[in-house]
Amino acid sequence: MDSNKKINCRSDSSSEDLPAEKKKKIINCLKCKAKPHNVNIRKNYPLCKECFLSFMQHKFRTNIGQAKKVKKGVNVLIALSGGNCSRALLDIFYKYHKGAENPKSGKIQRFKDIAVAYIDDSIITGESHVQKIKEIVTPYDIPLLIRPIEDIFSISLDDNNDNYKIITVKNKDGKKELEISQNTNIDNKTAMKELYESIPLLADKECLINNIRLVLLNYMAKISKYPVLCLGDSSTKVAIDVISNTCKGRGSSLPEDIASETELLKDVVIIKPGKTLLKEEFIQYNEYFDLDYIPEKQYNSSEIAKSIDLISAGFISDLQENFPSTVTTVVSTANKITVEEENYSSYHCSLCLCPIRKDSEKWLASNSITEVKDRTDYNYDHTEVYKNIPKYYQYLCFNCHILIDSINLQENQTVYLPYYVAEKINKYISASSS
Amino acid sequence: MSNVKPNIKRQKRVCDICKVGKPVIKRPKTGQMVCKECFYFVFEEEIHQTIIQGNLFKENERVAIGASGGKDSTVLAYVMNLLNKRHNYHLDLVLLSIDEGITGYRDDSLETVKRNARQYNLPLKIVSYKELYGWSMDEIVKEAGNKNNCTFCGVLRRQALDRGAVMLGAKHILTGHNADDIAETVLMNILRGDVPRLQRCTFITTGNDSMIKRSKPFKYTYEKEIVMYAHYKKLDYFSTECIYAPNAFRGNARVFLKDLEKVRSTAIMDIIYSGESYENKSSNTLPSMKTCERCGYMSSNKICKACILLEGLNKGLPRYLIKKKTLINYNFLFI
Ligand SMILES: [Zn+2]
Ligand SMILES: [Zn+2]
Ligand SMILES: [Zn+2]
Ligand SMILES: [Zn+2]
Repeated sequence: MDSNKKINCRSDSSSEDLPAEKKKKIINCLKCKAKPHNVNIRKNYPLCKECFLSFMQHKFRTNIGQAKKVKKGVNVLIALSGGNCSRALLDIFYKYHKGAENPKSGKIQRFKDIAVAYIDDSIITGESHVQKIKEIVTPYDIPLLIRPIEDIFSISLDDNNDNYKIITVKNKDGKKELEISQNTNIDNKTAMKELYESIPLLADKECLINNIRLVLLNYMAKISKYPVLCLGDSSTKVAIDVISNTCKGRGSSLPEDIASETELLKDVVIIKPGKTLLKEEFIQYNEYFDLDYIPEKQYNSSEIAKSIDLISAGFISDLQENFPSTVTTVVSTANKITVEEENYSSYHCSLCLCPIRKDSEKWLASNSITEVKDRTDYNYDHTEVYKNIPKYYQYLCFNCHILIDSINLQENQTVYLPYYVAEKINKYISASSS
Repeated sequence: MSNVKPNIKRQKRVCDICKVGKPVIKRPKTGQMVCKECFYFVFEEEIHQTIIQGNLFKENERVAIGASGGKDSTVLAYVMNLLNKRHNYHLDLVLLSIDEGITGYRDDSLETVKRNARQYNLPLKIVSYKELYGWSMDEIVKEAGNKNNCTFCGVLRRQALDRGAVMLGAKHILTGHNADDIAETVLMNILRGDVPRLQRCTFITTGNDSMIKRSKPFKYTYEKEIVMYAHYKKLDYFSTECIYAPNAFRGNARVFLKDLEKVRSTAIMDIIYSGESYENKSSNTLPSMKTCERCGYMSSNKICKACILLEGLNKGLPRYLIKKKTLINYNFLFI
């Protein structure tokens, strides 16, 4: 509501209308009204340092409190990328946890144990941050679980499955195919690297990495008996995801992708208690406590031009600059989006585990004509084109079609997909045949 | 970029569809290189498929094509006329044009529409802001300044089209909104936080039988292809943009879309796919249609948007809008 007006009210007259003396006046903290303000990240909400920190803790506590699927006294696994937001969130979470543990505060302990999870993606980035992550986590004296991203190739999401199978992506008669076969003892590192490199576009690589990182984090939470997985997403990140996912054709799972509370794997609830805080606020928090974090990777303009995530990030940050409620508006809009369940298959995507829209398989083919038998015959059968739809489309969501389509194989080259994908596809096949 | 090899390849390249013709366009939707003849076929027939799958028409329906003289509506009139004959839709097509009263812009484009009407042998009705509302767009801008004029114009045009359709006895209006426009609207509605509009902006048809329906046969047609089609078919259209530029916010979204398309040419289709996921059927039928207390025209509120705007104009619009700090009051005016 408040946010709506800001965006439309971008009229250039608003600042001109302010009387000159109002601009110069020292503005006091809006909360305690006693001290002069130190931060004014939300533009209309100046706060002193103390009030700012308690504002952040309050937002965090509210979000934790609103998580309905999270039972009291359970263990929480906190995902840490080491970036600004997840770094600050770890500190906030830890302090909240310690405070809650303190019997004097008179509160019931909300969680039992907390731990940190880190996915090491150095195989892809060529840069290891493991040492830095250890330095960040050590002072908290809580467990740190580290897994390399290539481990995705050897995990099973099914409790009672020891029949390891693998998916080979190959070209057959000029068409891409997924083939399920017995695991031939592939090397995880090589498989990860080859899969990543077979995808030409950064935009699609991003999708792949986002998907498998999230699956791996969920898996870690599940096997280590942490029923709650805490992600460090800021509202800024969520707003970027809303735009970016929309542009990548991932809208069909937007409610899951941006939910404050959701379940991707059975028995693991994902929460995002930083979802109402801006990235700039986390940065300010780190600054106040002098907390070390892994700096964001800097990209040059030609790299940015190949990434939907980075273009979306730039778009949101430009708008946020001029209309400070952009992020909150986008997030609150997305929160209100509900999808019509009847349009969805009961089966979830084998790769990203998100819902599949029933029409996704034929959608593109039904809206385009790629073959013409006779240009003078207008009584052609348009449904003929459906025969050309790749078979793997039925196991995947629209966004993952794009991802698998983009895999670019050299002649006779094959790449592998993680084992859990085979598991999911097998389940689908046996469910639809029975 | 590199020297000899790709050049040889390009010379030998044939149309991806007929394998014979010389390719003249790379289709953003499919990535195929196609020849002129194949392009005509897929361009026209994809629109036909959209019409069939969207179940757009009833036989013998009188359908008004919103014609501005610009490329979209010119191609729309041409293709609708063609498909109506080719596939026997049995539609009674008429052209409906709005004269906003924008000197230099509308005068010339109206001449184009008049020529189109003769070329395609379709009846034409022109309704003007001045006669409907007592204000021309030039007069409005003079009074209200250069801000938000797309908003005002959009509201007035929308109602003018409806009224024109009523005069013509048509209950169905076709507009030239293309895939690019729809993708842009999806993004705009997310950024503006307009959930109801987000939930219906990808519908191919809005409204229902009890009111005037609006359909977008170009929902899955790329702007670039519309331009190419008009160019190759040598269609007679007016190519100057409206002299009153769109607001900066929409401009941002447009630049963003162009950047996205450079990453992936299907981005526009991908956005429409996403937008369809956000659809909500209940947001299509507006709650309890009433008639405006002032002008007697159908409206979802006691007083219709056009009347609110005109009231503002008659009272002196700039002060009226700036005074209201919450622009929520006129947020609903956005189309
Ligand atoms: Zn204070
Ligand atoms: Zn998927
Ligand atoms: Zn051809
Ligand atoms: Zn009225």
